[in-house]
This record gives sequence, C-alpha cells and structure tokens, in this order.
Amino acid sequence: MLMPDNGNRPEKICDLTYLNEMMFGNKEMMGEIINDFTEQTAAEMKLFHHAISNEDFPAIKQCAHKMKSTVGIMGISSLLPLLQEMEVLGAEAKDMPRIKTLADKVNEICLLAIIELK
Amino acid sequence: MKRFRFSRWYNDLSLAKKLYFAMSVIGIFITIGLVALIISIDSLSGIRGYVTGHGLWVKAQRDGVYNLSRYSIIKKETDYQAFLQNMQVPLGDKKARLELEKIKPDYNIVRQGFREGLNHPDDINGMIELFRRYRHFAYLDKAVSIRADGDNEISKLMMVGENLHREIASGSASQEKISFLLSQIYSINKKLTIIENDFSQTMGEGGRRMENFILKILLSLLLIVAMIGLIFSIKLNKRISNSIKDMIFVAKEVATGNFSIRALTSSKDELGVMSRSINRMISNLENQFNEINEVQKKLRIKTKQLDYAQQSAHIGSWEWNLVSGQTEWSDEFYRIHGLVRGEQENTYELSISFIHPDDREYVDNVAKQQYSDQHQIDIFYRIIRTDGAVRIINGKGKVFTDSSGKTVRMRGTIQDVTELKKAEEELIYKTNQLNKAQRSARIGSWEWNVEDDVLEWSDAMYRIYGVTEKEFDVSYEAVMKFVHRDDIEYVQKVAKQQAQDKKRYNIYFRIIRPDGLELTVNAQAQVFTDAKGNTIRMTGTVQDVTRQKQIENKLLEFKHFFNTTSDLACIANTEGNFEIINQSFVDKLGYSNKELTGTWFLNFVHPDDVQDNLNVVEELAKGKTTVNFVNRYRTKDGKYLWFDWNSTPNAETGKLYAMARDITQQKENEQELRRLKELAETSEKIKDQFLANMSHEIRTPMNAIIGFSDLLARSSLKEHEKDYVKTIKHAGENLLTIINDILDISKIEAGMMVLEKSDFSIRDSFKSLHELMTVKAQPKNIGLNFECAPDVPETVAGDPTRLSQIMINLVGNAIKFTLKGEIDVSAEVIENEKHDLSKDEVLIKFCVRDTGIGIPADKLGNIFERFRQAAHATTRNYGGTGLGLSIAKQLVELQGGQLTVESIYKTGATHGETGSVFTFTIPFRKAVAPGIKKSDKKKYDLAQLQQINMLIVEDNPMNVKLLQHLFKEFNLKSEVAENGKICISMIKETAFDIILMDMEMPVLTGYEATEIIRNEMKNKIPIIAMTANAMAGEREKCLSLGMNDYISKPINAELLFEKIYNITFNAYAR
Repeated sequence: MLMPDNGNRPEKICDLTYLNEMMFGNKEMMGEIINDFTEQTAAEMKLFHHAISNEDFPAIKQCAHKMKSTVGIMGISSLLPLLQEMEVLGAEAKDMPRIKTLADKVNEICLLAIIELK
Repeated sequence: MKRFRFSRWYNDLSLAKKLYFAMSVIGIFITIGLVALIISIDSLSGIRGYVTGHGLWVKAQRDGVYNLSRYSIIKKETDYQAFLQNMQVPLGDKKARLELEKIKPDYNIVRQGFREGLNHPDDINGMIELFRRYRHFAYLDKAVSIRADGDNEISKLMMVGENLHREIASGSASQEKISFLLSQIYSINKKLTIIENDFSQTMGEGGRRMENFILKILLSLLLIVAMIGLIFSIKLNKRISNSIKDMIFVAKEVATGNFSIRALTSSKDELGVMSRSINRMISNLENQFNEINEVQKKLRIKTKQLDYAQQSAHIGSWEWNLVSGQTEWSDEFYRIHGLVRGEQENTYELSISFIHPDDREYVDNVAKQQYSDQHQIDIFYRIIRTDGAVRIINGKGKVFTDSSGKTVRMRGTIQDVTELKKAEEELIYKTNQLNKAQRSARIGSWEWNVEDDVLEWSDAMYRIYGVTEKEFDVSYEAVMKFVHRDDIEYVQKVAKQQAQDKKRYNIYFRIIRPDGLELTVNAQAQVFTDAKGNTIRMTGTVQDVTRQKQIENKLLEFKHFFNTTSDLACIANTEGNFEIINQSFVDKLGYSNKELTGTWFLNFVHPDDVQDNLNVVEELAKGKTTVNFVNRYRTKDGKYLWFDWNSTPNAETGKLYAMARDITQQKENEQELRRLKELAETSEKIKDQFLANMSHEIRTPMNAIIGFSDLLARSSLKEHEKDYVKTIKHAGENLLTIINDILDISKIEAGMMVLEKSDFSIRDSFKSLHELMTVKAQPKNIGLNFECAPDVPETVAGDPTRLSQIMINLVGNAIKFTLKGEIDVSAEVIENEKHDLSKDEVLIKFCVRDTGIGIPADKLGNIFERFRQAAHATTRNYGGTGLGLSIAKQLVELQGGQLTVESIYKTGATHGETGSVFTFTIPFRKAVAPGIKKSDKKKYDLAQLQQINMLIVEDNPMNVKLLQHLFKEFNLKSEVAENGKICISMIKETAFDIILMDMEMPVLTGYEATEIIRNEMKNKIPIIAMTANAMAGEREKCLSLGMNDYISKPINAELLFEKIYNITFNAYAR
C-alpha cells in the first residue's frame, strides 16, 4: 500500500499534481499537454524499438533522457528508475538484453499510462 | 599718377571742408534760382509794360474815333486836332516796333517811340529786353504781327480822318459824304476792336505761359537744393555716427582685454585721425599688457619652482612685516599646517595657535626674545595640524632692521622634520635592540681597523670572555691566551690561513675564562681589502654555544635509542609530512628513509582508513593529548600491514610524535571472524532485498492486468463476459493490495523505507481519512468518529503519508472485524514520560477503538508478526494478508513511536462486550511556521521578471509548451530555440537577459552550446541549466562549463523564478 488513499483501487501510474500546478488548473491546456504526451510517447517508443534493433546505444541514451523529462511532467515516477538505468546503460554501451527488458517494461507502463490518461 | 577720384577726395576732406563744400553747392543752386527769378520778374515786368501800353493804345484809338465822330457833327476844328493828338500814341508805338524789328535796332529811337506811345519810362527798358529776349517766342511774335495789323488800320483811320477834315474844311461838304466817311470810320473801329481783343488775349496767354514756366523752374531748383541738403546731411551724419560707433565698440573690446581689435581708418578726416590715434593707443596698451603678462608668467614659474622646492623639502617660508603688520606665508607653510590658502587670515596668532600646547609658551618666548635680541633662531617644536596629526617642526628665523636699528621685518622658514626625527629615534631604538639581541643570543662582535691598529669589542664580547672593559686590554695575543690548550693550534692555523687567503672563517673552539669556566664558542670573521688586496679591516663575531653543544650531545643519545628500538617511531610536521623515521619503520615498510621523509603520512594508508585517520588528526588538533588508532599501511611490495598507533602532538611546535606496532596477524584473525559473522547477517538482508525487487517485478504486470481489464470492462461485452472481466479485475486488485503490503513490509525490513519530513496538519489528515474510510464503514452500517484533542498542534513536521497508511491499516482492520457498533479514532498530546523529547518536539497518542470481536489474550502477543492472524480461520472469514498490522507497527516504530493493543475477547459474547483498542504514539517536530504553507513570501519580484527577455533552449515540445504556458500565465517574455545551434544564432541577433538551457539536444547539446557562448563568443549572459539528469556531479559539470545555476526537471516554477531572479537581478546588483 504505497498510496493509501487509493484504497483497494489499483495504484495510479500518473500523478498530474505537478502538471495541474504548472497549468494552474487550466484543463484545456492540460488536455493539450496530455495529448502531446500520448503522441510523443508513441513516437518515442517507436524510436526506442528502432534504436534497440539497430543496437544504437547513443540513440537509446538520448531517447531515455528525453523521456525522463517527459514522464516527469506526467508524474509517472515508476518510469524514472527504468529510464535512468537505460540511459546509463546506453551511455556505457552495454547489456543489450537488460535494455530490452527495460524497454518492454517502459512500453507496458507507458501503455497503461496512456489508458489511464484517456 | 594717381587718378583723381571724387569719392576718395571727398572722404579725405575734413568735416568743416565737407560742410563748406556742401554749402557752396547749395549756394550755387540758390544763385541760379535767384538769377532765374530776376530774369523772370524782369520779363514779367516787360509783359506788364506791353499790356499797360496796349491799354493806352486802345484808349487813344477809341478817343480818336470819338473825336472824329464829334468832329463830323459839330465840325469844330478842336475835335480834329484832338483826334490827331490821340493818334500820336499808336504812331509812337509803331515807331518803336518798326525799329525793334530791325536786325540792329537803334534803342534811342525805340525808347522815343515808346515815350511817344505814352508808356511809363520805368517800363520801357523792360519792354525792350522782353522783345530782345523773346523775339522768337511764339506769343510775342503773334502779338507783334497783330499789332502790325492794328497799325495798318490806324493808318487807314487817319486817312479817312484827313478826308473828313478836308470835306468839312471846304465847307461844302454834303451830309451824305460825311455819313459815308463816318461809316468807314466805324468799320475801321470795328476791325480795330477785334485786333485789340486778339492782342490782349495773346499777351495774356503768353504771360500765363511764362509765369508757369518760371514757376516750374523755380520749384525744380528749390527741390534740387533741398535734396542736396538732405543727402549731404544724411551721409555726413551716417559717417560720423558709424565712425563713433566703431570707436565705442573698439573701446569696449579693449576694456574687456581684447587688444587685437583695431578701429576702421578708411579716411583722412578728423574721424580717421581719431581712429588712428585710438589704434595707436591700443597698440601701446597691447605691448604693455604683453610685457606685463610675460613678467607675471615668469613670476608664476619662479613662485611655483620655489613652491616645489619647498614642498619637496617640506620647507615653508614666512615673512612678517612689522611696519605694515602684514604676514606672508608660502604654499608649503599652509600645507605643513594642513591649511588652505585663503580660508583663514594669516596672522602670527593663527600660526601660534597650531603649536602644541606644551611647546606654545616656549616658541612664543623665543619669538619675543628674537624680536628684542635680533638674533637668528633655530628651534624644534611640535604643531597639531588641522587634521589632528602632530608634526615635529624645525623653525628658523631672522630679523631685519632699519638704519636706526629698529626691527622692521622678520623672515624665516619652517621645516616638517617628523620623518627625520622618527628615523633618528628608530636608529637609536634599533641599536639598542641589536645590543639586547647580542646579549640574549650571547653573541659578541669585534672590529679590527688594520690601518689604525684599533681592535674594538662589543659589550657582549667582554661578557663572553668574563672580563671587563676596564681591566682587559684587547689584543690578538691577549685573546689567544683564553683558547683551550687542545684547540690553540687549530685556532692559530685558521687565523694564519685567513691572513693569507683573506676568506671568511667559521670555527668552533673552547675557551677557559679567568673564572675557570670552560665555554665552547663559535667564531666567524670576515676580511675587507682595498683594491690592491691589502687588508684594511676585519670584523667578526664570537658566540657562546656551550649550551647548544651540550644539547647536541644529548640529542645524539636519543637518536641512537630512536634508531635501535624495535617499535616503529616517527615524527611528522604540522602538515603531517614525515620528518624523521626510525630504522624499524624503514625496515618494516621497505621504503628507504629518503623515500619516506617529506611525504604525507596518509599516502601509505589504506584508502578505507584515510577518513578515520583524518578524524584522529582532527581530535589532536582539538587538543587531545594522546590518541590510539589502527590503520593499514602499504609496504613497498604493495602489501598492507596493520599498525596500532599511539600518537602525541607537541603542543608548542604542532609536530606529531608517533609510535606503532605491527598487529597484522592479530587483525587478520579478527577479520576472518567478522567476515564469517557478516556472511550470516547479510544473507538475511539479501533475502529481504530480493523480496522487495520481486514485489516490484510483480507489481508492474499486475498494473497491466488491472488496467487492461478495466479498459475491457468498459468496452461492449456480453453480460457473462463482463462478469469474468470484473472478477479478473477484483482478483487483480486484491492481489495488488497483497503485493503492495509485501512490498512495504519488505521495504521496511530491507531498510529501504525512507520517511518524509514535511509540515502537515493532523486535523486535515483526519478529515480526509474520515472521508476515505467512511466508504468502507457505511456498507456495514458502522459509525466512524475521528476526534482531535485541542492541544494537538495545528501543524507538525513528519510523514503524513505514513501516518495515513498506519491509520488506514488500523481502521481498515477495525472495520473488518466489527460487525456492529462504532469505531472511534482520537489524537491527543501526552506528557513526555519516557521519551527523550527536545523542546521543539511533541508526543502524540493516537487511539483506534472498535467494538469488534476482540482478540484472544494468547494471540495478543503475536498479532503484529508477519503473516499472523489471531486465528487460522480469520483469513477464511475476513480475508487479508495478515501484513497490515505488521506494517503499521513497523511504520510506527520507524517514526520513533510504539504501537500497542488491548482487547476484550469472550467466546460467545454478545455485542458490546468485546472490542480492541490499538494505541500508538509518534513524536512529531513542532512545525516552525504557524500555518501549513511554509512561507508565502516570494523570493523574487514578479514585476522585475516581467521586464526581462528569456530564451528557452529545449527540443522537447512538451517541456516547451509547459514553460511557455507557465510564462504566459505570469506575463513573462520568452522565445524558444530548438537546439544549441539555433540558440547561438538567436543570441547573436537578439539581446536576451537569460538562457534556460536544456542539456541533451540534437544538433548541438546544451554543454556544447554553453562552451561556445562562454569561450568563443565571450558572452557572459546568465545561463540556467535544465536537466533531467539526477546523476551526481551533473550540477558541478554544468557550473564548471560556466553556467550560472542548475535546475532539475520536472521544473519547480517557484524555484525557477527564484533562480532567474537571483541571477539576473541580484547578480547585476552586485
């Protein structure tokens, strides 16, 4: 029970508190940003897939870094350690199997997040 | 030859002559006018004469006709005679006219004719002149021809008259004949009347014409005269006034000091002469002025030179004229006193007032004495300057007298000799100090002047040798007698050697003093030679080093001990560098003495021990006298040896004395033991960690299951499919709760649970808990009351999430086991009994009381254990993992509190008889701020931020949008660059106040862009790095590249504004 106020409901992936604060509760603007997030994330996931199949470590690193700030805005804190690890592995250009595992998880969480946001 | 020019000639005329000239011209014109007037009058008079004459002529003709008419009737001879008499007038005029018509008339005949025509004698000349002058004047010509016609008719009349006379005289005249003649007469008379009229008209017309003509000429002349007079007056007036104005202007300019100006000298008249005189005067003045200036300039230079000289020598001069009472001070005099020339009147009294009160009377007396004695003075005294500084002055003065011997003038100088006096005092002080130093260091000095053969000893020399200046005659031989028997040969040899090679010597030898005391001395000497190499002077010192020698010997003994002991010994300096190491140390480590000396003692220490050793050094620095510590030392072959140290610092020198023993073997044994123990301990931790990781691994797919089943449930499904999905979802949720519990418990036990510390309100937490739990309590129809005692502080600092988690577990547990009745939750402050609470802490007791089934006494002890429930059947009846209470207990304990439970349990009991009370305490820090919100006071000025122009360098469109929206909300100005390259081209074109720079970007990264901005462009524009890199050292990296600050993503708006404000405004203010 990490988030007690969720009771027995499944834990929420996104925490929009930050976004809400930054947008001063402007629902329209928030909707726009969320829309951007879903589109951008889909594109980024494709990039990830592409970089992994090409074993392009710098691209993996860059992609992970970029996603870090994006998911930060959406308050998807569960993604941060995964992306951080991917970034480090990308920078060090090693352990492709682990990167793949991480990418699968990221993909899954992103998907859930998109579902949740919709 | 010069050509004559009227204008020049006229200009050069004197003013009087110009006037005469003008008057003459006017006079000429007036004369012409007068002549014309006379001629005119004359002519008019002539006309008048003719007109008068004509009148007479007409009268005579009429009278004649009358006479003939009367004669024809009365026939009296007298009438005929009267007729002839009357005819004389026209005949006279005819006579004059005929004569005048001649080319060369005889004027006498003319005059006679006019006289016969009965004209007035005075008019006759005018008539002649008129005729002469205007003979060809049309009117006159016409008048003459008319008169000629008249004269013809007169002749006819006379003939008719003669015929009449003859008829009447014959006496036989018929009346008819007479009437005929009379009609002839009347006819002639009629013609004559017409002619007379013509004549009169012609003359009248001519006269009028002439009058007009004359009048016009006269008027023209008058106009010319008036014009000449006017033009001349104006010209002359203009000339005079211009010249005078010019001279006035020149005079004014000269008065203001402009000597270069000159008056205009275009003419030679009086004004020209006057201008030239003025110019000569100005030239003279200019020359005189220049001479005066030259002299003044020289004088100024001289004064300045004198002033400089005085200033550099700090000498001021003064002069007092006793006759006029005036005093004169030089600039330096003022400076020495700290005065400014002109601010105060320079009087003798003023100068005296600056003198130090203690010296004032003395100086005054001396001055008065000088006045009467007329002697020169040369004294020292002190003054207090205007700025309060006390200066020492050397005053000199001299008196000047007149022929009678009376003092008339005093003159003198003052010199600021403060520095000189100070230097003198310093010299005396230093000499004393040197003597003192020599005494205390037991150093004597001597000097031998070879030329005069004088050997001089300082006081200390006598003291070292134990003799006095009175009883001892200093000489080389006498000194040699003091030298120890064993050293004499050596000393003499050195002295001899030095006499030859003239090099300095530095030797030790022993002396025996007259009192029998044996001293060891250190003697040094130096030779001074002339150009030829001859010795001219020798100087030297002798130092009593007896005590040093004794110490040296003792030291040798210690050294021996130091190097032979089997323990490791060393001395380190204040920085911790080895200074001295003993042989055992060298042997143990395998490094040479040279390799170790000067190196830092920590260089050889095992990296893991360095911090401990530094702590020890700190303890020593804090004043601990002896410390014991253990560390590993690296030997030359790379092995580490365990040393047990005992170290003592020298309080005076700060050096460190240390002894060590090799305890490697002992340590290895210990370590092996510890390793075995740790192995046992860590296996448990690994297990926990594994659990934590596993839980996490499980949780992620669980979220997927629940999420997708939720999504699926919302889609169009058949009823029974919907039921399946709901079941999946419910099961998933239950599973997730269990997993979350497992995750938490394992996190706690693996030591991975980190507590938050933030200000929050317990009352607010209760409110939201009440809301949350009511959802669960309501279906069971159980009452739920939350109550917070008034003494609970409004705000406390702690972890609100964990408190809520504990409450949810306890209240959830209570709801689960309560079928009927109520659950009461309360919070109150309790007295600080066992807890070691500080002043700013408060202990709060929370109670969760239910009317549930209760817990059997024998189970009370272990309900907090993991996976334990009061009865095995519980899980079946009530569900749950049995982890909730365990988590609650551990969370309470993590926060420094305690969780206890009391319960009443009865088998077969009815409602109201059983129940449980969970009580826990948590110490909270009292929040500093009275309200929840920490501080509303912003650390930046929004109005100022709105003035600046920011450049956002960011490739992530979401971040860009976020920042743009944020800035728009606050009316802040910003532009966007998508990467480093665009950023650089943008700042080249636009002046931004600050850059918010993302680090990871395509094309050109933030790191690269910053390097270009700082190193190539030399641009100092503030840059704040924005990065999602939470890695250690990132901040340092950004700052080292020359960025001004760093902010991590996601951006905190308040913090960002604060940083922007601080960098742009506070930095500028600096």
